[in-house]
Amino acid sequence: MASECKSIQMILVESAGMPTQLTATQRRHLTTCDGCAEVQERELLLAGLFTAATPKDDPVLQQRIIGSLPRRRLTTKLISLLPVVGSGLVGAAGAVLVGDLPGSSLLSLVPGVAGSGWSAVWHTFTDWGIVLLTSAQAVGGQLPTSTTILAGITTGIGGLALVALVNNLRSRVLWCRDS
Amino acid sequence: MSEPEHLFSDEALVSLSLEGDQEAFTCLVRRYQRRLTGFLSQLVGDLELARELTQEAFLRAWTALERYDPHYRFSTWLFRIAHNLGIDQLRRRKLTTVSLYRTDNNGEGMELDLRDDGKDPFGHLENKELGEGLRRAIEELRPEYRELVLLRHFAALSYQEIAELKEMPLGTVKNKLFRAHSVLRKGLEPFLVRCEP
Repeated sequence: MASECKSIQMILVESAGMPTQLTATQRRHLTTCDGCAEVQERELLLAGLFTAATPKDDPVLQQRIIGSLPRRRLTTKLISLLPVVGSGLVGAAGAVLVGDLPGSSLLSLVPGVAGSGWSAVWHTFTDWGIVLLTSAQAVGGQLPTSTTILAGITTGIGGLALVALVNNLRSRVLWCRDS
Repeated sequence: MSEPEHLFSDEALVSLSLEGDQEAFTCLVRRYQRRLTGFLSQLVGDLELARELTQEAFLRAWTALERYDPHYRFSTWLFRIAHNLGIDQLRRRKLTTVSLYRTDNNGEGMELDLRDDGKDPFGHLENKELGEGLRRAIEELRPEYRELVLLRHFAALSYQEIAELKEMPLGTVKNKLFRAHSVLRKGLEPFLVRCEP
């Protein structure tokens, strides 16, 4: 088969016989080549056969499918946000507890919450908060302020980066499993 | 979701579904059910089984939606799930594609094995001879061509989507489908006749 004929016939097979993807030169060729014209005619008819052979929409099946879907659980999504929230709280706690930092004055602007009141909340709710509070105060008293700020920011950014990396790797691994 | 569903891309519907909009996933079901059932019915040779597998494929897609990677087309992901389900089913039941035609011990005589219309993938066709002709023509294809034909004509995937799904170069898909069509045109010649007015 001439290479020009094969190129045209490959396009006709892909387009189900429709000449829309042919160039003007290729369309002229169709009018002069019986072989290609026959392929076009047959591909049009073949496409019709396949269309007729494909089952139609099945509304009953669609309803059955929709009715069988379990409710999407939101708890999974909330749990996945915990590391991000936790990292943010660690960074915020560091800024608040060290003392004369912009963070503490910002937090004190939160309606009804003052720096000491925030510390009381931590004490009340988690032992972890107590340990962190004590440690942060001790560290804050020993290290330069700039170092403490840098540590707090690094903790926050590191936590966010870790969450993003884990999510990225998780989706890639499970995508491969689906295949 | 108040706008007409055809305005939403698959990826947009997936995002909405993940936010809890089940109506968005319903749109995806309506969009792909016919193609999934058509593809699976040809793959497993049983329409009723194909319906069950279609339901299972959508259920798996729904529960695994968080794992869908938008770098890939949703159609590719969905049909990959369906394809794996179909292949698993074939392996489990050790089904083989059974020819419609039987011959006697002398190799002569043809006996038509008329299948239950409810299970026959071509049972909905009024022209039974056409159904038989299509089934025979598809069965006679080489397995690698047959699968591509099913993906192209019953799953209605584009060449690019098929290449992604099969992890095959686009040029290879084009060449194989070109050869498959050459065989199909010969095998279906009696049916490829334009009716004269």
